Order: sequence, then structure tokens, then C-alpha cells
Amino acid sequence: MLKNNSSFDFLSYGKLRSSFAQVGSDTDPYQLTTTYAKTTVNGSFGNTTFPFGNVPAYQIGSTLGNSTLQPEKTSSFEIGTELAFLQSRLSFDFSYYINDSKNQILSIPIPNSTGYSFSVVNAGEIQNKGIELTVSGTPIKTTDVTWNLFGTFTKNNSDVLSLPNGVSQVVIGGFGGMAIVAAKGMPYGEFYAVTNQTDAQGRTIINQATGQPMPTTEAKYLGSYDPKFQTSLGTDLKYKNFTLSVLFDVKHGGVLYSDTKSLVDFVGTGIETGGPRFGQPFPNSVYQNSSGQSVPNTKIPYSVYTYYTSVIPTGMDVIDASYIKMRSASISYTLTRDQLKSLPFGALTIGVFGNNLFLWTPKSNAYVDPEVNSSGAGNEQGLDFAANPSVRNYGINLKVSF
Amino acid sequence: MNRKYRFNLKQALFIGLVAAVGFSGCKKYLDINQNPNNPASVEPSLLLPTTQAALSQVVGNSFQVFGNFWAQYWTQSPLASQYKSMDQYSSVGTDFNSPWLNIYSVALVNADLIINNTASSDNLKGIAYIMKAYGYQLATDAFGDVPLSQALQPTKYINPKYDTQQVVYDSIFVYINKALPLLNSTSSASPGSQDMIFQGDMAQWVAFANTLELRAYLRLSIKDPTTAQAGIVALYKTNPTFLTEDATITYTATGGNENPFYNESVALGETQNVVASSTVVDAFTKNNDPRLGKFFATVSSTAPSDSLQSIPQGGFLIDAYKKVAAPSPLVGATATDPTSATAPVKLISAAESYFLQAEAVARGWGTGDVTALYEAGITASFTATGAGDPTTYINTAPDGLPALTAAVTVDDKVKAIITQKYYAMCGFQGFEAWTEWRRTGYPTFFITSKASIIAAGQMPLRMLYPNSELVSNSNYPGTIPIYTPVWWGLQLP
Repeated sequence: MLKNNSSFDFLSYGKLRSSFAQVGSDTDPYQLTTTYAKTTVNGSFGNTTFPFGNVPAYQIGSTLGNSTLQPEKTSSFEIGTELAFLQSRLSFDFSYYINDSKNQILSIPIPNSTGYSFSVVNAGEIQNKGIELTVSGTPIKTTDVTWNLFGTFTKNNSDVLSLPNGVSQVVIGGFGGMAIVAAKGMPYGEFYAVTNQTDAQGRTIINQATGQPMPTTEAKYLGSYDPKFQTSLGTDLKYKNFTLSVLFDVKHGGVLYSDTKSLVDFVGTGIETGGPRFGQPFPNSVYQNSSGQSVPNTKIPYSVYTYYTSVIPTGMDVIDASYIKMRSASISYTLTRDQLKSLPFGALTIGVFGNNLFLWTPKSNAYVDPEVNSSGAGNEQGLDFAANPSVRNYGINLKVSF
Repeated sequence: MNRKYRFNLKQALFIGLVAAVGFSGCKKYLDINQNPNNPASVEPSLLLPTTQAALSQVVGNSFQVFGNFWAQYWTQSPLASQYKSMDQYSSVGTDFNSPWLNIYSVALVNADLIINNTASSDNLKGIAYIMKAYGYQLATDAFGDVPLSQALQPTKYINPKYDTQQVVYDSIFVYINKALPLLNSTSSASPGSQDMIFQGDMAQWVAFANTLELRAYLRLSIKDPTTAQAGIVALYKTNPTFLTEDATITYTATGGNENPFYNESVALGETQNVVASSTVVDAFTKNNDPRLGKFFATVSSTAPSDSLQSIPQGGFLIDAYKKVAAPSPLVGATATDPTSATAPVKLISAAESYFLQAEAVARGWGTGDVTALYEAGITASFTATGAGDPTTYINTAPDGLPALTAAVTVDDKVKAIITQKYYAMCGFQGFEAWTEWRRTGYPTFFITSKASIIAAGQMPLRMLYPNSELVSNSNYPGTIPIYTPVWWGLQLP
């Protein structure tokens, strides 16, 4: 219909797409009842095991079964378009999606004072919606010069819409002192832990007697690992036989827990543990006087050693996960047919390349590449358990064909 | 060939039989919701060892180390670092995840399953009630207010609220009183060897119940003397028997069946983390107490002869290279000595039983001879340590009988009794000794740890709620600092 209409000549390709799908999934068997198992009583490192001599023992399982478990159901809706203009010199791919996960089956930690450690639940409704946009274009195209630009932009908002009856949040992961929770009305995957107490102006509240920051008496929400948006930008520039390519990745927002920070703090090699270590008051700190008002602390010193080895709460190891990264760059030279005449090759390209060349992180993250994830794919994200640093590699490549 | 099918009675019967057998079996066979690996119900007596071993794991491992540090029997070795935070008073919530889990999710929940099972015999239920009372006392003495009325009912209360310590103590007495008639029931089948503590000896359990009740009432003696007095007077009216032997699990050298603290030390690579604290060593030395050499091992190669070296509580940085005496295998704490494996974990000791009775008599709430009970306590401790004849010690040591004889006021008598109880509990019952110090302020010779990072003069007076509750229980009452006393405790012991 549009094909023969000359006023649509600027459009060289166009497509509108939409999809809706609903999939159900189940879980491992035997989650409906609580069962017994042979007893092992665990200490922190050791344990008491049975049979003890010839005394056998059983204990109730640590996971509370759920006889009313429902299958989980995910419905996803997507609408998108692909458009190319000006003889495909400029093209767009855009999509918008909403994924709704209902009754997600999770084994969540519950207070041990219930007598159990985990409960299998249908975890309410979690919604993910977002956009994905890809733009690519060729601003210059002559016989000698070709310049391509391409970029992507993705944004995902996750929202915990509802949770099982009477529950305001569920713990979906974490470890000892750090929980990752799904809390109602918050993004999925909030870090939840004890941190330093601060006053309304964000100043750290210290204990007047020791000069040390005081920990919060309850766990605090410290941000989600979900970024605000992610984008990438790349370019290719071809001039005669030379090709230059660069690719940048940007992630904005989100936080991560860094065990690397915790460790370098503990051993005293972290940058914040340096400087004058004695007789200094805690930076930007206040104490509260008898009437509960904040008084700036300029005198009461704290022991830097004690703070970083014993006092610092896990919440202080949650840091901004934003970054800008030069993912790759390369420059290459391709020999022409004429130049290859005397050689037995069909084609020959020589170049230098580098991956993971530069990383810019916010000031609060002097520790790790925020892309590390120590717990694999799953609900737990944004955990750095002293992961190996990411690798920068560069080299020369020579490509030949016959 | 043309064959017509003919009805055959034999065949029909056979088919019928196959159908009857086959299909009747089908229903059960096809019940895929039945877990073939883990049973949905078990004989209740199988749960009793779980409860007992879990409480013994807490008393004998986690609370054993905290207690022995905070009662100043042991301190961190300068040559290791595992328990530094205990001497620094810098423990955090995660340090208490494990004992909390073992108390609630192993000991108490399985005790409740025994109590609520109609197939449980009276005796078994009685023991379960006593273990429940013991477990709740352990929890509340450590943490203060703890979940009880809404605990252990996950289908009703997914976020159990915390009950005040006073309410928890009321319930402890209720459990003990529910237990006594069940323990006395003679028509009941004995749990026999499934009872790891007394092998089904019900007379011992009655004595345990009475001793536990006495211990619990005495804990209230300073905060709520009226209740304590009424309870103890009522107890003595029943002509109670009290423990005359230790309530312990007999651990063996078999892997996984060893003394829990030794087992932990093995898992930590047999590093000797704990050493003698000068607080207790000096006090023993002052009294020329032969038990000192039993509770601790001497250090070899210190000129001129082997001697017992200690460092001040928390002095691991001050005496960074000093070779210090380790607690002996008798208390399960020599990491490199496999005989530590068979050290007992004393849930209640014979010596403790006598000292509890002595205090009840000294306060005028119980009947008996305070001097005889006091001497019996010391004698029981000497027997338990193999320290020989206690007569000379009793008569001549300044903290021996002279301390009790010289005491005029009730408080002075209590001071002598608790101080002697403190000596008897060295290495065996660290948590109970620290707890009694928090109640009475005795002994009076504690120092603030040299490694303390909290404000001057503050001491650990409670354990912190575990991090697992902080992140998962919406009724979490807020973290209470380590230097805040529990309800029955003294502000400044």
C-alpha cells in the first residue's frame, strides 16, 4: 500500500511487531509437605552428626512445605518497531515490554524463631517493564570514507506489586550480614543491611565515648542492583584501507555489595584507611547531645584501625555500581588486491586491538569492576565476593585468507 | 482357522485378581507428592536426641567460647585470631545466627513436635518440656526478650513477636510444672537410650527439673525477689530432689560425635585459639588452688621449669609473642590433643546444683545446711577435675570456707557461694558463670578487656540478636547494644 506512494520514499524499511505470551512453570517436586531428615547439628565450622554411637536421630526439615503452592505464571507483552530511512542510512529498532510474573515460586528465608529457616511461597506479583532502543546510522559514505555510528539504550523498571498475605518483604538472597530483598513498592533486589547511623543532613552519628560511628539498630534499604539505564555507543570509521572501531558501554545507577572493599578496608590497604590514622575525628561526623540535637564533631578522635577491622557495618560496603567502560577499540589495515598480487593470499588484514581498555567509576567505587557478579544468574545480583579483577587484553591480529 | 472367544471362568478370575492387586496398589504407588527419600512423620523418640544434641552444641560450642571469654577464664591467643572480636566486645549480629538457629530451629521445634505428638509417651513428653524450658532459659539469658508466645507456629505467625524476659521466665516455670507429673508417670514407656543425657532414668530427670527450677528462680532473686522467694519456698515444700551428678552428653572420639568445641577446633585446623586469662589464673593462684593445673595445661620450655603462663584478658596485642597456657583437654579446649574429644558439656553440673542449694539456704528461702552444701559444691568440683582431696583447700584458701564463715550478711554469703561456683565452672560452664556474674556482680575481680573497643567501663552484658532475625522478622525489636543488661541483670555488675 505504501510501496507505490512516493511520499513514503524516505522510508526504506518498516515493520511493526507485537507479541503476547503466557508461560507457566513449576518447581522441584516434594515442596508441598515438610519432611524429616537424619539429624546434623551444625556449629559455625564443626557439627554433631548422627547416628551418635548407636543412637539414631531425625529432625524436622528446615524448609517449611506449602500445600497450597500454585504454579508460577509469567505473561509478557511486547510491542516494537523496526524502521529504516534514507536508503537504510539511518535505522531504528524500538521495543517496549511488560513482563508480569505472578506467583513466582521462591524458597525464602524466614525467621528461625518460627522453628524453620525457609518457606516455599508464591511470592506475589513482580512486574518488569522497560524499553529497548537501537539506533544505527551512516552519516558519511563516500568512496574513501565510511563512518558508521550505532547506539543502544535500555531501561528496565522492576516493581514488586504484591507479596503473599501479610508479608511486607521477602529475602531473595544475600549472605551473613547482607540480605537482598523484594519489598513491596520497591524495585526487586534491594540491599537490606545494617549501616552507619546518619542524621537528616547525611552526617555520620558517632558514639561520644569512642568516636566510632554507631550502627543502625535496624536494617536499612540501601538501593537496588537494578540500574536506572544502560546504554552503549559504538563507531566504525573506514578511510581507504584503514578501519577504526570503538565501543563504549555505560551503566547508570544501581548499587553493588563489594566484599573487595570490605577486605581492603580490613587489611588496611583501602584508600580510605590511609592518611592520618591517629587523633582524627571521623570525617563529616556529629554526635547527639542530651537533647538529641546533632553537634558537629571536630575533636573526638576515633581509632581508624578499630573502625575498619571491627566496627564498620556491612551496609557501608554497598557502593555505586555505575560505570563507563571502553569495551573495545581496534584499528586495522586491509591490503588491497593490487598490493596482494605478488603474494599467495586472497585477503590480508593486519591490526591492533584492545578489550576492556578503560573503566571510569564513581568516586565511591575505587575497588572493583561493577560488572562482576559472584553469584551467577539468578535472583542474587550485584554481589562481589572478592572476585578476580576483570581482564584487559590487547594484541595484534593478522587475518589472511587464500 | 476360525476360533471363537469363549468365556473362561479361570481366566476371568485371574484377570480379576490382577486388577484387584494391581489397581489397589496403584493409588499409593502413584502418589507423586510423597517424598520417597524423606519421611513425612517419624517415631517421636527419634527427635529427642536432636533437641538434646542441639542444646549441647550451643552450650558446648558457641556459648562456651563467648561465656569463657566474658567470664574471663579464657582469652584470645596472641598467635591466632579467631575470637578477637569477643575480647574486643565488637561482636555483631551475624555471630549469633548459628546459636539462635540451633536453639529455635533445631532444639525447640523438635521438642515441640514431641510434645504435640499424641504418640509420645508421658516420660518422653516430660523430658521434651524440660528441654524446652532449658532452651528458652538459654535464649532469654543470652538475648533478653525473645519470641515465645508466637514462636514455633509458622503457619500462624510468620513474624513471631518478642516477649519480655519476664513473660519468658513465667513460661519456663509453666513448662517445668507441666513436665513434673509426666516425668513421674510410672505407666509410661521409658525413652531408654534415645535419651542421651540420663538414658531414660526418670529420677534423674525429676532432679534435673527441680534443679533447673531452682536455677531459674534464683536468676530473678535480685530483680524480682518476691517471685523468686515464693517459687523457691513452694519448690522446697515438695521435698525436691536435686542433681548429684552432672547432666551431660557423653561425647566420644568418633568424628562428628566429639565434644562440640573440640570438633569446631578440628574444623578450624586444630589452631589453639584460646588460652588462659590472668583474671582466673591469678585468682586460682592466690588461693593456691590445685584445680588450676587441671583446668589449664602448663607451657613447656619456659625457664626455669614448666609453668602456667597467662595473659591479661584481651592482651593479645600487648603480649603478642608470648607462649601462653591452653585450657586442658578436660574441658575440651586443647585443639591439638585428641583426648579433648571426650570432654563433657555440662548442661547443669553437680557442683552447680550444690551451690544453687547453698544460695537458696543462705537467702533463707530453702532448707538445709549452707556450710555442708558449700563444701559439697567444692568437693564435687574437685572430684570432677580430679584435683584430689579438697580438705586443705576448703579450710585454708581465702576464698574457701573462711570466706563463708566470715560472711555476716546474706549478700556476703552469696558472694562467697557465687565466687566458689565461678571457680567450679571454669572452662566447663562459661556461659552460666558469665550469666551469674551479670546477675550478682560476683566474682568482683573482673577487668575490662585490654582489647575493648567500646566505651571505658562498659562490659558485655547480653548477646546481640542475630542478623537472621534482623533481616527476616518484621517484628524485630531493634538491636540492643552489647553493654545493655537484660531485664534480670545488674546495670553495672
